[in-house]
Amino acid sequence: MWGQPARAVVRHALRGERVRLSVIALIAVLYTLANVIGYAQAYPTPASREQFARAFSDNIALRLFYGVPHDLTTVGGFFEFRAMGMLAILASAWALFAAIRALRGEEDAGCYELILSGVIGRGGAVVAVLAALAIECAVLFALLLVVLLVFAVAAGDMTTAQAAMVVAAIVGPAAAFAAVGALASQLAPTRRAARPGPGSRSPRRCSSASSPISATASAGCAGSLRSGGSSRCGR
Amino acid sequence: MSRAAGHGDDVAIRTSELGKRYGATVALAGLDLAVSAGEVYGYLGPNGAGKTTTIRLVLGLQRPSEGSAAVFGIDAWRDPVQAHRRVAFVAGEPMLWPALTGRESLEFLARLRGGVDEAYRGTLIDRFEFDARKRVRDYSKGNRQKIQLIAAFAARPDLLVLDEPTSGLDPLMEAAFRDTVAEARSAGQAVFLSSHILSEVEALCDRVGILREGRLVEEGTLADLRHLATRVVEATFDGPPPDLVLPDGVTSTPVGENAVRFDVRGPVGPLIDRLAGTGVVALVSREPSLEELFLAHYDRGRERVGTAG
Repeated sequence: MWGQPARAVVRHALRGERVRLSVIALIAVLYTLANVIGYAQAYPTPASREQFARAFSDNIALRLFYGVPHDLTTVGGFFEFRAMGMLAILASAWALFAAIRALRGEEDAGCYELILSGVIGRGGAVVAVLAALAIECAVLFALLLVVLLVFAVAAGDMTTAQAAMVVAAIVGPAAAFAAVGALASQLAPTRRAARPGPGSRSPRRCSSASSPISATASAGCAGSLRSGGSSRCGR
Repeated sequence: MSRAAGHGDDVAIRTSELGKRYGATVALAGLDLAVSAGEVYGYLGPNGAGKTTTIRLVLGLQRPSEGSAAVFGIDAWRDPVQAHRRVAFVAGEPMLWPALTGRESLEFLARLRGGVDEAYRGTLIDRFEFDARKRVRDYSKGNRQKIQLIAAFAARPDLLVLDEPTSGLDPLMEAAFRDTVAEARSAGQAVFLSSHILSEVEALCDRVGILREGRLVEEGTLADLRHLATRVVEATFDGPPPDLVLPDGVTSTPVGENAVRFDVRGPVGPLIDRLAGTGVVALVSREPSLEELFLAHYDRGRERVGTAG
């Protein structure tokens, strides 16, 4: 099933998401760097980290936002407390909307018919889009892992396994939410309905102002030509 | 036109008892179609008659509620991948991807179909005077339609399924489209042309089917259909028209001072006999245009007046 048409759909889906994915990846990388490098520079010695951990772990307001800190004396522990959850939420939100855009959005826009009329099965097209989402999650995973390997593991602040674990904890929920979005896209009749919360934008369904048969015909057929009765998106 | 009643791969589209319901709405019912290779089939009907539903079923994009649709003997719903190897589709709404350029769109559509005749695509790009460098969102509707047409014909499929393909094209481009369809026909490709532009169907199609409220109400060659309809005879007299005893099947309508239009069902001979002794100065007899045929079918049982859509 991975013939040329399926590969074309994967590439097309990747292309459609490349700008948004780049922005998300850039934010994630910068946020990771800021936390890892910032912590290491601000608290270079074990003593300063102990002091920081004591002051920080008692802060109820911060706990409200970031959860319970487990070990604020290491870069890994601080990153897990301060950044992991935030990044997981960011990546998950992106993944949810990316899946809905790629599946329900394309279908709403009427583009899916062109894809499905190609040499690709109904399931094949969906699988190809899911493959593209998987590739995007993998790219995010690889990028964040490399950043942690270079700036935390290489400096001895984290083990490779810890880095992989924390990145998995960020990208794993994203993959799960991509799946939720994919499922919602199949169940909901419109892109807006598939999205969580009140949809602010109307679906990109284009209305057709069909031209009348001809001036004389439409005059003669008064009442027999139904306007707006297009069955294009009827299902 | 005679066509092989047998089964087999040479029948481009064959539907049997094909129907589709959306809840209580019957979009299509009991459709039996056969379109042969090398044939251009015109599929006529107003919006909402079921043209697009038929196409979706023929392409296997929707599951039939009843009956089946096959493309070259391959069931469209059960095996769309095999069926689509021989089909190219042009959607009525030129729905494309706004961020792609014309060139990229053509490439993507070519890959989706698994191949393209690049030389012929170049010919078509020239013929349709298409500038492929712009982004789709910057194209007019007509230009977006050209992308689909070029992509579909350049794939040189055995069957072209065209859903109102010329909406948005200017007359010059419509002429280019007609040339392209003629080329496809002479290459043995079948063309299924859904349209409500009657002149286009009249100029291009070997056979015509007229769809009304989900049912095929008439089918045949243009000659067949004309046979069923009235013939128009216009007579101009040297004075006020005489009172004629009209033969059966003839109705008359005054046209201006000295002219009368006769609608003749059946042979024209008896009317000519009656006119022979009168002061006729001009007599014009013509076949009804497809438009008149179409309206005749639609006027039947459709007396109520509303606003045209």
